Amino acid sequence: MTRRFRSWCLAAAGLLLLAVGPGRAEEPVAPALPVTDVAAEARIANFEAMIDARREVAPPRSSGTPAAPPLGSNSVRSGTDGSPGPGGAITAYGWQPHEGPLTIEDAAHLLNRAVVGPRFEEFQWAVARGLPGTVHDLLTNPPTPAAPGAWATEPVPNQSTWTQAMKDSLDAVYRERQKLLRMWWTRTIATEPASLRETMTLFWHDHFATRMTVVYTPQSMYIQNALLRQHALGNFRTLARAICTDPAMLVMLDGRLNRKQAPNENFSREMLELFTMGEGSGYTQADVSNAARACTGWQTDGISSYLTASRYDTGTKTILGQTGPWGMDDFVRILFEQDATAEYLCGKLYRWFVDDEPAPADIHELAVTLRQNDYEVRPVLEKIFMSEHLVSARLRGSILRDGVDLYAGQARRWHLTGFDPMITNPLWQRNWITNQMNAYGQILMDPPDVSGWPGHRNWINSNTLPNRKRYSVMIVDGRSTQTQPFGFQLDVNAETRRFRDPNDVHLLVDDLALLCFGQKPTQLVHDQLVAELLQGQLPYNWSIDDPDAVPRLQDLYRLAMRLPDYQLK
Amino acid sequence: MQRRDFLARTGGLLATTWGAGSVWWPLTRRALAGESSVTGNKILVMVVLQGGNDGLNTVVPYNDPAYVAKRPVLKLPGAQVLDLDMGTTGLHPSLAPLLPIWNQGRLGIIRDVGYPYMNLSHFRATDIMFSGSSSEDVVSTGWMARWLESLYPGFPEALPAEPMALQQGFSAGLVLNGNRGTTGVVVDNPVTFYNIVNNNYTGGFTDPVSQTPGGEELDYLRSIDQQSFQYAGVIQDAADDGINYVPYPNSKLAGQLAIVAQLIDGQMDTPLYLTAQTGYDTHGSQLQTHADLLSDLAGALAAFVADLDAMGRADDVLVLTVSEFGRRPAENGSAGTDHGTSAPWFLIGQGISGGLIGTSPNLAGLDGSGNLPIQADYRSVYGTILTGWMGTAPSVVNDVLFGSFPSLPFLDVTGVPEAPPVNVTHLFAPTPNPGRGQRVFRFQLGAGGGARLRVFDISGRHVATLSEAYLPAGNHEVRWNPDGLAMGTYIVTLDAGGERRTAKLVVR
Repeated sequence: MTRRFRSWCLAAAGLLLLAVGPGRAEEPVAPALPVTDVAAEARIANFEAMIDARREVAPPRSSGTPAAPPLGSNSVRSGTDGSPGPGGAITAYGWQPHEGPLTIEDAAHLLNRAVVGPRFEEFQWAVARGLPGTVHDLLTNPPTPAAPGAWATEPVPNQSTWTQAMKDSLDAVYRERQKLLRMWWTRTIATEPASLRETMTLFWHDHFATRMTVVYTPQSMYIQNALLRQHALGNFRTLARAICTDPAMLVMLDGRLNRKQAPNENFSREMLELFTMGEGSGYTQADVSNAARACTGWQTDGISSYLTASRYDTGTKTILGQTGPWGMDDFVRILFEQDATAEYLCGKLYRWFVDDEPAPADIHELAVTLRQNDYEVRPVLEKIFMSEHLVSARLRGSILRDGVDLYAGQARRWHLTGFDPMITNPLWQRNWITNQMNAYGQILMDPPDVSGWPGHRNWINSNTLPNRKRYSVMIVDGRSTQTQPFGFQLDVNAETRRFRDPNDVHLLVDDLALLCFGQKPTQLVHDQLVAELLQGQLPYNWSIDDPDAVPRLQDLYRLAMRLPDYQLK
Repeated sequence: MQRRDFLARTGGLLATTWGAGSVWWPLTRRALAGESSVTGNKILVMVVLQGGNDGLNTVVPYNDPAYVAKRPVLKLPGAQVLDLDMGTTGLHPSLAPLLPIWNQGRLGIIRDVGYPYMNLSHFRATDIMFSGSSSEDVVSTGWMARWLESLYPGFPEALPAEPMALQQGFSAGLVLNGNRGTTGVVVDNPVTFYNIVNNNYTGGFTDPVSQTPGGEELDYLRSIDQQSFQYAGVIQDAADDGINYVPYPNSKLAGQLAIVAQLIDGQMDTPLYLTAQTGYDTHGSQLQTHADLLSDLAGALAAFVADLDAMGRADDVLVLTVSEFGRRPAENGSAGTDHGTSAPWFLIGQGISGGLIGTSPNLAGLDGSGNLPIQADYRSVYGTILTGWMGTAPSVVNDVLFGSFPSLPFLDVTGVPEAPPVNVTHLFAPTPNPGRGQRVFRFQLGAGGGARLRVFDISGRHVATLSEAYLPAGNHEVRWNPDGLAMGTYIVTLDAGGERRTAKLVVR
């Protein structure tokens, strides 16, 4: 056996340990550790030298509404100190399935919640398919999107003999790839088939929030993104265990620095506080410290993760009342034996998909479903999307669109051919997307900190709202005011022809509203939009074949994008 | 929308008493229109140090053996720090740009600010700090928002003509969430803000929203829309009118404060500005990062104060730096520090009496997690600012802060200052100060014993001994006229019961 083959075997064994997933030990037994692999150690050292020189420190959490406030407390809408909002105590609606067919209004609302940037023909397809068929299709995984390039998984080169100039050159390449990766994900969201998978990938990214500027290595971020996508509609516990030793996460929360000789509690604290049980759910500082010891010893070379025996604390730990020589697998096992974990996650799912003000009983019912299905998320999503509660008219327009919904969702919704922010020459499309990410406060792969994006009303302030309007109308123009044409433009003629009757102004305006607002417009908004389209013309004179139709439609679409209603779904 | 009437600066100028001395200032639109500021022109500028500033390396007990022992790598040696009180406390060397302000008696440092049962989660601690609540309560409104709503009772039905608060540099979060609405605007660049808002405005809304959750969200969107539109013009006008009189260093915080100064010079009637500096969560490799952050902070603050002096608004503006918590005294294994509890907050302003408020951090009395006890409740800082500086009625302030908290002696008062608890040794700021002529030096002894009251110049040379005797517990007073001394700042020290208290004396 050559040395290279042996070290490959050891590496493969190490990876196998990861790939097999959490072992369900019947009794507390210390995990078997791989023999220290010299080649892996060298790669790890090389990797750490690179990132310590280049990356930013993890930023503090910004303030805002809690990622998941204590159950039953008020949300932003109530505005007072813990007492229920003006409507009184929050009603529990339950999850009885919606009976009967889907109207096109139902479909528009449902798909705006499930998919980032749904298209008009998808509303019609859902009506034809019916609710159970639609939900089944939404919960089916489409094919995995191709990686942005071979570079997305290539190992970090050995830089021990490199000059500073060579290292700087690699740094420039990596920083360019960071940008490409963000654009790749934006383009993926804009081109995927209608499915809940990409929405859930975004949800998990917000949940296990990891920042590219902290992680630095683009391969690590791609690998994490692929992991989230792989398990997006899968098993929460499996995903959580994989995230614990994901290379990007080991860098983000200093798991790689956590060793027996100097424990680092950053990861174990956030695992309890943000990723599973949630703050204030009964764990103590002692649990954080003991869990940190269970998580010791892991390191990464940016692509794979390893457990190093000399750094691992084999001692006894007491976590949430259970005592034993716990390692990472056991830490995760114990967390998922706590009721709080399912409650916490289902609270987040509710706030993401349904409404900002959940009733505890409604969350609890979802949590029971999650536990009964051994933490598979599909049954929970199915329950949500099949429910009368979600489909009913009551919740129309109650969720504020996040930034991704605008810069990626609009590209999808309007079938923007020529939309490709990965183009590097010219950079107008990339700049347009990047400017929006900054202006809306949602940079993909760079949540403000490990608690993710606070969301909801935090998206909207006197700075972000005007910018949302400003950038959206540029799609109608096909250009920003300063630069060259983007290379794509909203084809108002083609888009309007997809509607039910492009020659009926009232139906036209209603269909546009279904796309833009996720619901029929109010009478006043309807009239406002019709007036903008007709410009004094009589309704029966309107024809989409009119030579003057395109500029009229452009004015109509711009007005729709400038109305506050556009920000809701 | 009713645009602010553009009342051009008239050919005639009107003398006012803003700033030092008698200056001819142009009429402002606000003065001509007869509007008056609800806070009497007083402005609070808050600088948020995000991440948990390491207080021990900012205001450094550099001769405390416990400090030296706990920080083998991170300790700042005596030779490097900027000494403040001759041997006990020094400032981080990066804060050198603040020394002139310190010597003028315009920098107050409140030590070990915190609250009982401090929360060490960034997220929760920041919410507590901004909501003005206690550790156990979950409050989703900001204390500044509640205060602003008390100042502007007509809000939001009657939107004030100018923004109540203006925020830069970080997302709004709950800090400007009031009970009745969002009490401020987030604006990064006044110049572009106006264009973007106006080009995309679709008009006012007359129809009521539906009584559904969607209706409530639409209502919120409309209110932001309306506020943005109303204030875009106001802010642009103020930015057009105002200028910076001094150059600012090249940092994000300096950029934010430059805009704030410009808007203040442009007479925008906004009592509250919020700015922020990120990066203080120094879990590893702290020394250089912290030094750079404090350097940016001090440079930005020094330029801002110089700008306020030049424009004659120094009397009106109070700057407060806050951070959600401090950091653990013992360093960690990564040449950094983990989350801690209390930390110093800085106050800068003409109206500050200057000096260190509180004693050296009690490194012998750490809690079970190795963290410092608190000396001042953060709500005392807010409360003192609101009642003593802004002139808000104490009953209103108690509502805003959900209770009453003891005042802290950081404001210049020409009357009798707030009494400290009787069993505490305390040296009051001399009065009048700054000033000329005979001064009154009052001090309180917590217990009877030997007490020595002396005056030193800022180089540490002894200038005078005002009192040296065995005295009973309680209040004592000495009168002395320092007029023979060179103009400048002097340090008054009281040594009693093994403790030292200091105060600033400014001779003009």
